[in-house]
Amino acid sequence: MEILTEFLHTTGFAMMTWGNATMIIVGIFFVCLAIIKDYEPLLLLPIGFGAIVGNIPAIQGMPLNVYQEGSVLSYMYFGVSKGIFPPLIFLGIGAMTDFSTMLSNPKLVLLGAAAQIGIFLTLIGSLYLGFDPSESGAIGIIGGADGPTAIFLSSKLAPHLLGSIAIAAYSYMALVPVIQPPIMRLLTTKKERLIHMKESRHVSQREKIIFPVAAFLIAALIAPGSIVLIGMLFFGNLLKESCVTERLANTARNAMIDIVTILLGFSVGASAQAQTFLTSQSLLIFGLGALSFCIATAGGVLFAKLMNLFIKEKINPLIGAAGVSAVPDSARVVQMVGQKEDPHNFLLMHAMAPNVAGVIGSAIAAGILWSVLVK
Amino acid sequence: MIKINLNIQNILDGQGIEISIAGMLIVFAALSLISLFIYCLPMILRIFTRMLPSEEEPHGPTVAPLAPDDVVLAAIGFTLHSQTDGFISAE
Repeated sequence: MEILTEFLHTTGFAMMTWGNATMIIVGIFFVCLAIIKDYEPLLLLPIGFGAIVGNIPAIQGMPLNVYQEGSVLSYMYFGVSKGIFPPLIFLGIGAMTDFSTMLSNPKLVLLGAAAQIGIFLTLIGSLYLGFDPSESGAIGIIGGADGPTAIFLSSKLAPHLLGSIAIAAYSYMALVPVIQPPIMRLLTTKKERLIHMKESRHVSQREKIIFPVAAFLIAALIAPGSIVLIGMLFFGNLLKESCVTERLANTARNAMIDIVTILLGFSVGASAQAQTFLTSQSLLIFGLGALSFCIATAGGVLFAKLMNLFIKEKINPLIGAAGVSAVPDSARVVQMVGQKEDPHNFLLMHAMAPNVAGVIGSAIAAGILWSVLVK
Repeated sequence: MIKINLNIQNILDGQGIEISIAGMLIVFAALSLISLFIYCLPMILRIFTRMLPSEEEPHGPTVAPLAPDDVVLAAIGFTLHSQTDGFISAE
C-alpha cells in the first residue's frame, strides 16, 4: 500500500502545477494551429508537441527534461544550446534556394538590408526596458524573422532566454500572414500596390555558381561573425548550383533539413517549461518580438518607397515587406496582398529577391551583434 | 525575473545607438557590395568569355548517347520493309 501511495505521489497528476497545465494547453493550441489552420505546420507541430512533453512534471532524481544533465532530451537540446542545428538548417535552405530573381535584379537586395532596421531598433527598445546588451541583441534578432538565426544568436548571447526567443521567433514567423498585410496596406497607396514590375532577365548557370562563393567572401570578410550561418547557406547553394553534387544537395534540402527541423522544433518546444517560460520576461520578449517584426516590415516597405523616388523603373513597395526573411512566407504574403488589388499582378518572383537577401542580411546582423556583444 | 527599469540612460550605457547605427551601416555596406557585384557579374563574365572563349557553360553530368540496339534496328527495318512493295511482292 505504501508503495502505491508513493507511486501516486510521483505521477504527473500529483506534481502538476498551474504553469505546467497552461503550457500544455499552449502546446495543444500550437498543434491545433498547425493541423487546423495550417500555420507553419512543420515547425509549430514539433514545437507544440515538444511543449506538451516538456511540461510533464519530472520525477525527482530521474533526469527527464531538457535542462537535466544526462537526460535523453538534454542530448537532443544540445544541438540547440550549442548552436549546431541552425547552421545545418541554413545548409538545407541554401540547397533549396534559387537566387536567380535576386541575381536578375540586384537593386532589390537593398530591401533585404532595410528590413534589418527592426533588429537594431528593438535592441534599443530592449535596452530601454532594462535588458542587458547581450540579452537585447538576442531579443532584437527576432526582427530578422529567421528562426535558426534567432536560436543561433541567443544560444551565444543569452542562453537563458533561448526558449522564449525561439518560441517568439517561430510564432511570429507562423503569423506572417496575419501581422504583415495591415502594415503593408497602411504604408502604401492603392496606386503603389498596383505597380507591375518588369519580368526578370535570364541568369546564366555561371552566375549562379560564382555568386555563392563571391557573396560569402564579401559577407564573411565584412562581418566574420556571420561565417557559420552564411558559410553554410552559400555552401548549400553551391552544392545545388554546381550540378555535380546533386546527391549531396538532395540530402541537404530533403532528408537532412527534415531531421534537423524535427530535432530542433521538438527540443525547443520541450525547453519551454512553465518554470522558465511563464515569466514577465517572456511576456516582454513576446511584445518586443512583435514590435521588431512590425518595424522590420515597415522598414522594408518604406525603403522601397524611398528607392522609387530615385529609380526609373518603379518597384512595387509591397515587395519591401519580404525583406524580413521568413522564406518563403513573406514573399507569399506580398503576392497575396498584391493580387487582392490586381489579380493579374504576379509579385511572388520579385518578392523572392528581397526575401533571400533578408536571410543574408539577418545572418550578417547576427554576426555583427555576436562579435560586438559577446562577453 | 527582470526588473523593469525604463530609463534612457540604459540605452546610452549599453551603447545602443552606436551599435544600431554601426550595425545598419555594416549590413547595408555588405548587401550593397553584394548587389554591386551581382550588377557587375554579367559584364565580368562577358569580358572573361571574350578573353578565354570556352566551349560551353558548365553543366551537369552528361549522359552517354545510347548505342543503337541491333534488335530495335531489325524491327524498324522489318516495319519499313513491310510497308514497301517488297513485302507485297513476297506475298
